[in-house]
Amino acid sequence: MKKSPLLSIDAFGKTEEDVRVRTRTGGLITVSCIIITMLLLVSEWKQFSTIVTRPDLVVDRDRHLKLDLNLDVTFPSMPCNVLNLDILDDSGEFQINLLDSGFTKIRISPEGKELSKEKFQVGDKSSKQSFNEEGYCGPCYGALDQSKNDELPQDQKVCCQTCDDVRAAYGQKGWAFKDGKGVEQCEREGYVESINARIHEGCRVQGRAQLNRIQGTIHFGPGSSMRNIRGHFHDTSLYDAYPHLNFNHIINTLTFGEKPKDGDSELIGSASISPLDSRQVFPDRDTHFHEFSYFCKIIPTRFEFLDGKKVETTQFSATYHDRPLRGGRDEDHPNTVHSKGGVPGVFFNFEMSPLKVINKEQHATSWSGFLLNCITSIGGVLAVGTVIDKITYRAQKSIWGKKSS
Amino acid sequence: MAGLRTFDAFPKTDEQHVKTSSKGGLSSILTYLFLLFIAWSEFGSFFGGYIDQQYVVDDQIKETVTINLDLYVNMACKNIRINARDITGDRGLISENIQMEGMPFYIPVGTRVNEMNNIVSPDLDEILGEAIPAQFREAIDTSELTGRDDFNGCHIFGSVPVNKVKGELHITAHGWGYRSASAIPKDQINFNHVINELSFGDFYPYIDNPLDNTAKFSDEKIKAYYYFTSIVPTLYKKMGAEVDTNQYALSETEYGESSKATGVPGIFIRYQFEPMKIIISDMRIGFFQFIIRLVAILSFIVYTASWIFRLVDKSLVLALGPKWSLHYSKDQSPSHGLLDE
Repeated sequence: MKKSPLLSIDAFGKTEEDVRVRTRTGGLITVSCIIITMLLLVSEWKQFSTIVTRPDLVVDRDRHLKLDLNLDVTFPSMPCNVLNLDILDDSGEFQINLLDSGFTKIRISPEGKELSKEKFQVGDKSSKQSFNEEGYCGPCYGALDQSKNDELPQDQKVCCQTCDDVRAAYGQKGWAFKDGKGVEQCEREGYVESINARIHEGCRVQGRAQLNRIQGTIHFGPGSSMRNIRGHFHDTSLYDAYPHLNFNHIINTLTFGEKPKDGDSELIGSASISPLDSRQVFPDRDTHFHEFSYFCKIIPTRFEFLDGKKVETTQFSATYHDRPLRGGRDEDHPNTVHSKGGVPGVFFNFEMSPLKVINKEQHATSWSGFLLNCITSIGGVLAVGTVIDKITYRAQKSIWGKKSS
Repeated sequence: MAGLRTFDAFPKTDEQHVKTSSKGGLSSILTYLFLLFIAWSEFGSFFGGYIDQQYVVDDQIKETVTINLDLYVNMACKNIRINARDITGDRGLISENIQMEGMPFYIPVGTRVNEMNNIVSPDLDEILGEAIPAQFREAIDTSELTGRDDFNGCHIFGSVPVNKVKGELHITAHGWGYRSASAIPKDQINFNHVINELSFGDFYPYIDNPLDNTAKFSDEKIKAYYYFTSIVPTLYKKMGAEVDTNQYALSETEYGESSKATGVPGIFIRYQFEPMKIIISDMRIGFFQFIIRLVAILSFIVYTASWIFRLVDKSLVLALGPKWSLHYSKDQSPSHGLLDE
């Protein structure tokens, strides 16, 4: 055979087969090496298939988008027609995209059964009943100036046509409206009856709204809210008149943004998407004049799953605080003087974090890393095997001499 | 058992067929040294582990957080009032919870006066070494001594809960800032102070916080010192040990009587809490895996070394002739390394 020049640079010099020696122990070591390699490969595969989460922090660039509010709260001793929901934010307005928002009130009997549903809109007074009788001009009971009505034509008269009009007029004046007893419009509309009949009921509020991504408050209060020169306030006269009413509550769901199903992944399970869910607040003491607050800090979060699915949602952390409206010290906080005044109710104060977390699911090692690990495992085992084999071979030779092959 | 012999994947060459060389022996020694070095650094990185960071949002609903405070103020205790105000509208009467005792005011050795600490992010091991939980002692009643001239200071210390919302700790003089029937005269106000400890959460006195061991001292007595802190909960984890604590970012400012901004004299510590918690944990690979990896790396090096040896040998022979070959040395000493082939 012609000697190829390539031969001289052969780095893998081979020993002739006839000078090789094979031994029994060598075979044994080989077999055990194969087994160990198998085990190692299996463990490499396991490590490859473990999923780890790699978090990334970025600045939230979606501030202009709306934030979905998902809400489901039960008030066992708060009738639906007394309960009111406002969402206010730093812009000073009700910032709600009313097209996408809608809340349902479910009446709950004193025994805890759900009775009927009714839709209502945030910041809105309860459903209007029109009463159109030709030439009718309802009295406003002094809340509006009606003295010049006789001189004005019909369409410019100052009138209170419905119960709500009277209530709004009272609100502007800052007068207590209570259950509307003695107000002709309300008696006729059945408002008084329904209020009194349902006063021992509870209420469950369910719904969604879209919030601006700025600081704000979601606020459950008693009686409809009014706005006048002095700002935002509530007509609490009805609430004040019934001392059994209170804002003890069960939060069934409160999330800002989509809530993925729990079963989706461990990743979702460990995230703080809805830390307030199934929280029940029933203090031992009288909470008629009591303010419950939650301070929520919202962090936009994106989950990126292994299968390419992405979920945009938020996580939030919450601090709870409650105080009696009379202020001063209470038995829970002996060294704290609570501030005085305010409106009874439940307040969810929220603020947005400028940072966004991206939680990515990943394999613990990449494909190439996995392959490399496999190769190192095999190589390592073989190297160890070679060493052990050489040692045993020499040992055998020095003990038994040459015959032991 | 003869059958097993065919499985032997490690065929051995009998000694008489193995060629050894003195130069090869030298390069083997160099290779072994290199192996030792690699093994040593691999061991180091195995025991050192690697640091993994995670950001989570706390899903526990908290009401309060503890402030650990230890400071000396150059004023009589009876003239000092401490309140906590926050966005819930509460006024926390910290004076009732915290320990106060009269003392001669002094600035301890090693305190940085009118300077900021060098703020560094502590090492995980450092934190774990320093995280020895402790409690403040009870105050010593020094009231009978307070009449003395040199008892011009007050030691304020203790762990007090405050609402876990944005708020401010007010350390003010009696009658200044908060309404009260009487007010102390101006010449008794002196807000020079030493901060020995200001931390949030569990009290670990040995963990360094940005404000620890700093002092503010000025000839102007009536001054307002503002500290703004932003608190980040941090959880350190290593080999089963966990330290749940809080780091904070710090900014500070001060106003004297001479400056334009007028206000109430005092020490004001503003705090706010970040919702994100940092989890810093120490991770490491399994021991078995580590051994295999180590051996694989080492054998790879040996292999490469022998390959380089041959390459050098071949190129020497090619370039300078066969008598330069590293293989054909006169010395035939029977020494060989374990992995020599």
